[in-house]
Amino acid sequence: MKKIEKDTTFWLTAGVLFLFWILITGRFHWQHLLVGAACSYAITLFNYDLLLKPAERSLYHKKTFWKWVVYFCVLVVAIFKSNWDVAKIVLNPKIDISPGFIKYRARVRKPLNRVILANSITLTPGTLTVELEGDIYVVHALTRGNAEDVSEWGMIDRLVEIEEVERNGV
Amino acid sequence: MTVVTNVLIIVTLAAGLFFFLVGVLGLLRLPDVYSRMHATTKCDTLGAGLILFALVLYAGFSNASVKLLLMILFLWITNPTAAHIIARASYRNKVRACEGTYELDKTGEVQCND
Repeated sequence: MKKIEKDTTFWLTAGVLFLFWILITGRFHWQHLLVGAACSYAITLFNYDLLLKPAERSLYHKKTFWKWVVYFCVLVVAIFKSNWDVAKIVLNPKIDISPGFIKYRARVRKPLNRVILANSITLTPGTLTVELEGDIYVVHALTRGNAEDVSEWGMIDRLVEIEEVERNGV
Repeated sequence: MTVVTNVLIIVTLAAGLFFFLVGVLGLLRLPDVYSRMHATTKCDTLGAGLILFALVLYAGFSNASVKLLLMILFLWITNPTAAHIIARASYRNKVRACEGTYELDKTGEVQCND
């Protein structure tokens, strides 16, 4: 086992796990707290760099925090809209779709942001991420209109903008 | 429990059930794997989210509702990921797409077809 530094990341990870323990158990007796603290410490020893990678701590910057909040609000609205679209297609007596695959490049760099983007694409109207290799996305679109929209989609710009702020601001 | 909360709970539950219904209908009616994934992921995500949210309203602000909110969070993370895995596996194994499926390439690279 490699040597583990007990730095800020270590204690932050342990803290998050301990908070999660308190939320799940919901009790404040000292025995519960002791077991929880011991468990979160042990888990952090083994999985130190899985949860909060120092290089990728993008969600926790002060400058970009509100941009992330806006991002996820827009995403929730998009989820409702996409469900409505699918409902309209499915409940129509004549199914009117023209599916296709679109391959395009998104200029998003961090792996975590790429995963967030892929999941956002899946959750938004008429698109489904099929393949993600490097920065090339293959997306399945349900209609021709969705296919044309996806590569100039606003959410990508938001992510790119967040990355810009991080690179310049830190 | 006021009347307003009750009405809100019933509306949310009904909406959740409606989206589950749409998901199932989509699974039965759409032509191939990929378009079926559209119906099932989107509708299951929102349907389960709405039903769990109705339960949150029913539980009020308590320990249970915090757990339910965490369930919604993890469901919304894992659901599109699972859909991506299924779609990716089908794509890599060249599962047949339905008639008239086109392919667009917007990467701007020159393709070498040999």
